[in-house]
Parts: sequence; C-alpha cells; structure tokens
Amino acid sequence: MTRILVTAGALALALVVTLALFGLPVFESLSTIARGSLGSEASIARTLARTAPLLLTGLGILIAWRAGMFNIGGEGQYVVGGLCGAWAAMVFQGQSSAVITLVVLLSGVAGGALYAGLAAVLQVTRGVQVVISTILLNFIALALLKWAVAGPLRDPSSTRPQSSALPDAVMFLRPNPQTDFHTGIVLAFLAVIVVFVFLRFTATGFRLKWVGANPVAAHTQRMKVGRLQVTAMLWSGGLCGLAAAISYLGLARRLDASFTENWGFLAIPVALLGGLDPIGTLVAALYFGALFAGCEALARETSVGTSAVFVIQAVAVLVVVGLGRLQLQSSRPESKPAGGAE
Amino acid sequence: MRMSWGLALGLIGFTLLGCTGGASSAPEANGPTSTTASPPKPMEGELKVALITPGPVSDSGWNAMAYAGLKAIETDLGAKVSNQEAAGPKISDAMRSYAQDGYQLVFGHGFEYNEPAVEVGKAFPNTIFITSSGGGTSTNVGAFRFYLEQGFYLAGYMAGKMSKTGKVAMIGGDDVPSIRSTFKGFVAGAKAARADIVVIEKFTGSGSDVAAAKQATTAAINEGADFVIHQANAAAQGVFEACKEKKVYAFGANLNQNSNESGIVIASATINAEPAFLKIAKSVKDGTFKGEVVLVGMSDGAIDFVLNPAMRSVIPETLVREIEAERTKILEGQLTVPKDEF
Amino acid sequence: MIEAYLPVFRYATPLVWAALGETIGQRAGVINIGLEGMMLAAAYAAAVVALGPGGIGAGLLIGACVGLLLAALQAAFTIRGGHDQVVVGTAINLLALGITNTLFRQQFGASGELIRLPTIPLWMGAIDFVVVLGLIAVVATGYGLQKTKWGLALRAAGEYPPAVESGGFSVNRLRWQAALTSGAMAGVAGAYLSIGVAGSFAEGMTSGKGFVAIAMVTFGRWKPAWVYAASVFVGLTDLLQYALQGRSGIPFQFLVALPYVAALAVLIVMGRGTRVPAALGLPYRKEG
Repeated sequence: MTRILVTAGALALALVVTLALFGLPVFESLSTIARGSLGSEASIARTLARTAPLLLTGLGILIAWRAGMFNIGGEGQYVVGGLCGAWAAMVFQGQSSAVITLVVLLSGVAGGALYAGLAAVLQVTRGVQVVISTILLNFIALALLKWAVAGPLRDPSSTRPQSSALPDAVMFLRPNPQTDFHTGIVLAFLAVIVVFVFLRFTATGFRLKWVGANPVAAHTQRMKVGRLQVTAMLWSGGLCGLAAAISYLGLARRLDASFTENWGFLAIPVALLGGLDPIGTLVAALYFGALFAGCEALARETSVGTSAVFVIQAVAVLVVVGLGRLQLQSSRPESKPAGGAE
Repeated sequence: MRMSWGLALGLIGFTLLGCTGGASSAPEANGPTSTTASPPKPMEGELKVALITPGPVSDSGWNAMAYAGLKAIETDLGAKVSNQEAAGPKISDAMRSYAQDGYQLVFGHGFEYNEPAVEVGKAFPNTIFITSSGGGTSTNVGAFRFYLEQGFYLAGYMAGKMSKTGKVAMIGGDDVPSIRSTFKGFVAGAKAARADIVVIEKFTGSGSDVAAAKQATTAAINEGADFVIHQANAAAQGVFEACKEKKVYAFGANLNQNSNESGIVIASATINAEPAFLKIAKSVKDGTFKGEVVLVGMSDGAIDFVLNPAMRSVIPETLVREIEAERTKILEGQLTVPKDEF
Repeated sequence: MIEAYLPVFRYATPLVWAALGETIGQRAGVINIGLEGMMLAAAYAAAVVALGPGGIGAGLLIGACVGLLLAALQAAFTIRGGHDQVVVGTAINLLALGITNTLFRQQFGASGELIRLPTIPLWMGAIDFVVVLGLIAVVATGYGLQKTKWGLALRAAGEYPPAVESGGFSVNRLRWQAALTSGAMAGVAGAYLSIGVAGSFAEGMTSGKGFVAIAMVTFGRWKPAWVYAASVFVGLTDLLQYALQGRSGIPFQFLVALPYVAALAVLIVMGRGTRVPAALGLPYRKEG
C-alpha cells in the first residue's frame, strides 16, 4: 500500500516540480490543467480524444516490448497505417459509407501491422535489431507521408499538399458536435479488453511474455521464438495503425504533413509507466491524455504550453524508474557473472 | 497490477489537487463531476482575442508576424490576448475552446484553419473567426490574405537586375502553397527584369532545421545563384550564413531582416500584419465586421519591400528608381503580381 | 569540383561526433537512445553561451558539459540503477525537448529576431578545427578500442561482462566511462551543430539527427572508421539531394529517405554477419 502511495505521490510531484521549475504559479496552473482536462463536457471529450491514440499506440508498444522486441517505430507504423487508410478511402470512393469506414479501419491495421512485421522479419531472418530498424523505418515513413500527400493521395481540388476530406457519413459519429468525442474512441477502450484477453488467456499471449523474459529458455522449450516475435510485432504495428485510422476517421478527416502528432513516441513512456500491462497502460494513457488536454488549456494562458508535458512525462518516468516501480528489467535477460546463467 | 493501482491513485491525487486550486481561484470550474458545457459569458466591454498558429511564435517568420499583430491588438485596443499552437486534428478543439471561453475574435493563422473555422463558426455565432487565407466565409467567418507576392515580386525584380550570373535562388522550408505562391511572385519579378533569368528552387521540408537550410542554400549557390530569397522561418539564419560564407546577397522575408548580423541582407520583403489585425479587431469591437475575404497588399501598407540603407552603396541609383517605378505600378493597379488561389 | 564536395565533411561532423560517442557506448554495452536529447540540449546551451563573452570556445565546452551531465543522469539510472536503457533514454529525449523549447521561448521568443552566433574560422572555406578534431577522434577511438588494454576491457564489457571482472576491471566503471564519453561527444555534436554548422539555434533544430547517428553506428557496424564513412555518406546524400532537387524528376522526399533506405539495405545484406555487442542494452549486476 505504501508503495502505491509513493508512486502516486511521485507522479503528482513530477507535475508540481515541473510547473514550479517553469516559474508557473503551481495552484493556478493545476486548476487550469484540471479545468482543461476534466472541467466540462468538452474538456472530458478532449481528454478522451488525446487518450485514444496514446492508449492504442501504448498497447502496441507494450505487446512488442513484452516479447523483447524494442519497437520504437510506433510513429512510423502510425503514419503508414494512416496512409493505407487514406489510400483505401480513395480506392473505395463511391461505395457505401459504412463499407468505407470499415475498409479504412482494416487497411490502417493492416498497414501498421505489415510495416512492423517487416522490422520483425528482418530481425528474425537477418539479425537486424528492431530497435535500430524501426528508427530507420520511422524516417522512411515520414518521407512517404510527405510524398504521398503531395503526390498520389493529394486532393486534386486543393493547392495544399493534403488528401481529400472524408465525407461526414464516413467519419465516426460525434454525438455532440461541440466536443471532440467520437465513437471511434470507444474502439480504443475496447482494444484494452482485447489485448488483456490476448495476453492473459491465450497460449500465444502467454508465450510472448516467456519469449521476452528469456529467449534462450524459450528456445530450449522448443517454442518458435521467431514466429512469436513476428506475431508480437504484427499486433504492435496493427494497434498503432488502428490508432492512426481512428484519428483519421474521428478528427483529422484529411492527411497532411501534420498528421503525425508524435503519438508513437509519446506512447513509449505511457506503456512503461503502465508497467507494460494493459490495465496499467489504460490508466497511464488516461493520466497523460488528461495532462495533454489540460496543458493545451495551460498553453492558452501561459507561454509555456504543451512543451511542459514532455518534461512532466520525462520526470515521471525517471521518478517511477528510480523508485524501482518499473519492473521491466526483471522481465529481461541480464548479464550475470559466469555461473549466473540458467 | 500494483503498478496500475498506483497510477490510478496518482490520477485521483492529481485531480484532487487540481480541484482544490480550481475552487480557490476559478469558481466557474466545476471539477470532474460536471458534465455540462456552460460557456462563460463574455465579459462585457472586454475584448478577448485569440491567435492559433501552426508553429511556435518564436519562429522569426510567419508565426512571429501574426504574433506581432496580436500584440498590437493588446496594446492599442487594450484587449486580453492569448495564443496557442494547434495543427491537424487539434484545430477544431482549439477554436471551440476559445469560443467557449468567451473570446469574440479568433485568428487561425493559415489556410488549413479555414475549413474548421466555417464549421466551428456555425455553433458559435458570437465569435468571429478570421483565417489567414482560405476562401470559406459566413457571417462570422472571414479571411485575410497577405499579398506578400508583391514584395517578392520587387525582390525578384531587383535580383534579376543585379545578378551577374543570371541565376537567382529561392529556399523554402515546408513545401506549402503559401510559400510556393510567394515564390511565383519572385519568379515573375525576376523574369520581368531579365527574361533569361534562371530561378533555382530548393525545399528542405523543415522550418526548423537550420543546418538543412544552410545546406540547401549552399547547393543553390554552387549552381550559380548570386541572390537568394527564403521562406524558411526559424531556419532562415542558415540561409543567411550560407550566403555570407559564399559572399552572395540575400533577401529577408516576412519580417524586416535587413539588420541581420550576417550583413548580407540587401533588402526585405515584409508583411506588416499589425494594421490588418487591428482593423479587424476594431471592426469586431464596433460591430461592423463583415465576413469576407480581404486581400491586404501594398496599398494597405501591409506589404512592403525595404532596401537595406546600409547597402545603398552597392545598389545602383538607376535601379532604385526602377524599383520605385515598379512599386508605383503595383500601387496604382497597372501591374497585377501573379499569385495562387488557395 | 572538390570545393563543392568539401563542405560534406562539415555537415557530417555533428553526426560523426554523435555516432562515434554512441559507438564507444554501444561497444561497452550501453545503448544511448537519449542521444537526440543530449544533442539538442547541448546545441541550445552552446548557442546561449557562445553569445556571451566566452564565444565559441566556451560554447563548445559548455555544450560538451551539458551532454556529459545528461549522460551522467542517464548512467545513474541505467548503470548504477540497472534500469532499462531505452526507457531512460526516451525520458532524456523528452526532457531535453521540453526544456529547450520552453527556455528558448522565454529567452528569445518575443524578440522576433533570428539568432546569429559567432562563427568558427574556416580553412579552404569548408574545414574548421572541429572537423579535424573529429577525424582525430575517429583514429583515437579506433586505436583506443582495438589496441589498448582499456579498449579490450571495454569491448568485453559489451560482449561478455563476466570475463571483464575476472580480468581485474569493473564492468560498471568501464560502462560509466563509455557513457560519459558518449555524452560529452554528443554534446560536442550538438554544440557544433548550432555554432559550427547552422550558426543559429531554432526549436527542435536537431530534427532527428541523434536517431540518425544511432542508425549510423549500426550502418558502420561498430567500427569507428566505418561509422565515420557512414556519417559522411549521409552528408553526401544530403548534398546530392539538394543538388538534384529541381533538376531531376525524382520527388525530393525520396532523396531525403535515401540514407535510411541505404542503411537498412546494408543491414539486411550484412545480415547475421553484423557484430552486435552481445550484452548491448543489458544491465550488469555483480552477484552477491
């Protein structure tokens, strides 16, 4: 119990310390953040809208990391997911709107999954580490995005490099058009259950954890390590692609160079603070979703703005890591002196 | 699981902290239990003006220019002002947030704000939305478009007349229509001065990568350019540094950059956004606002082409007179500088 | 002709310093994902200091110190605390990004003026002393890693840590040394980026160069000379990219992506032949 309180206190402390360091009046700023994140229907909707992509990419990160695949390419998978979604929307133009929505979602998932799968296959077959290849693939995806919105995906009626706008009927329903809440956000929360069930109750999910904890032992247990790692990355990329498709169908409506909002990077600390656990990631995503939403309000009142969130994220990760609350290292192999190996 | 409970408590702790602060300093904040959005009534008599920019207002370019306009409204009209960065999916929410907070005037500084402005504008008839370029208007949505092409035309004209190599260059950051359109003005001016002029165009794809701007400029100079204009915002110093190293002249853009310490800026094509921002703010205050697209150019005092007084010795006197003649033609409407519609 | 290509070395130099530092770190088993953040923080600090009375010398020095400081913070968590290196590195990146953005806005935001930093004197219009030092650093790193007892121990710390202890060295002491060297070199890289290459500072000006450097270490297969070649290659593709822009039908985004595609291609071709330090990214704890 004390440990939980310490963690909670550490997160609150990270927030307060950061605000104070930036020379902001702490209580006023906290009240602004609270109002911007939870103070009204629109604020809560904003929090949920920021939570959804953080949550989905966070879930993606956690599955891969659990399997020992250090996917830091969530950003690239998000971008490729969005690109595939936009491409599908273009190809299926003229079909009924429900069909388009579904196809965009599926294409987003498929695009993200394949892009992550590529990195996984490279590691398994060619020994190219995911932690390196996904860095490279991020750069390539960004170049692809800029090229696609200026080229093949470009809205012919616009001089701006951007894809065509999706019609309202294709977009997710917004029960109250005065807020950012859309039905796609619900999908993000449903994904938590799916991932939870997958990791807890399926044989593959169980094996994934094994692989991450001890690849050598897993190998000797005659588990098909490579296949499991590829599976984990397919899930990981699929979730990142889903995040992109939902953002596209929920709020963005078009793709342009600003479509990437760095969710793929920002989700890494979220998954970690969530202890690489679906429920933990849900809570962490809600916390940081609220923080992002609140800091947008703070940005309107001060010149500090959303940059502060990066610092809060960093301090929170370091504090929680420092307190030993992040038990990641226990799930990873460790170099031990001779004789320490299993 | 321990981890996630810790986070849950952290979230609650953060909320409680926020609410205490909220109760003391902002009575209208209802805390997390509130689910109704009740926009606070606009304060009688006080003008509240907001500016939403696509990038940081510290960019010494496009965004800094709009920020100067906002600051002019603050000092001249005594308005309460606020600014926030928002791009892509976050634009609509930022606009609604300002409207809900009782801002009577919201500027969206770019083409991409026009569509969301029209949509959000429907729900907030008491707030006026102005976007920098864009064609959509309504009773409370308008746009102004800075005719910077006029200034770029004169720069192109001067470059064309003065170039010894017959080659001049344009360096862009992000490849966006507003930038491409100003380049069109520069090309027209250069061709008017010298029919066989070669205009080199390079984009770096980034408004913040100073090293890339310098590298692109160096490439253009290596191709023979001896006059360089830029649209690189915060990365512009890289353009100037390359010009200084290669001993060629550069033009400032957006702001008057003649006094740049590199000492190679021969003239600047400037936007003075303050009168246009003030004019609209005044019309909002007086209730005389009309939703229309206004083109603001040289005749309004918004666009200028300013020779660097410290460089007058290298500019032939006859050329100064020719430039003034071109300027007069533009001012009197005999010459229409080409521009893109976006 | 040569004059057109000589600047490549200068543009590549931030990458060279960052990638060399990362090479030393990775050889000792420390992957420094926080490279980007260290470069950005150093670029900012160096810019601010260079504007003061100390000039470029003080700027470069402070840049190196800032890199060192962040590396020390990172090492305290990863080496002393045994926490995950990728996690802590990610936090370092976020920390540096948030702090530099905020400080820059508070300090320069309202002025509307571009920042111009004092310049480093050039030889032949393209080379300066940091470029030359970078070359010396390559040789020194290569020699140090391959020919000295320290280098052998360092590499062992990245390959098979238990062997190091039996040789009378301390794994974690070696890793501390490698991490701090890596941080200081990342600091030089960032400081040189703002002072030497750009002559200015802008928010987020590193634009992913730290990640590029990490990729180049792999591209250069953990060998200093090859890492240097890889970094220069990136500089060269950049140069070609800008030279070709507007003169060929190839969309420039493809040229922007070229170094990454090339790096990936090399990794794929090299495949299993790539000598990844076996204990890379793994914490070390003595038993008992």
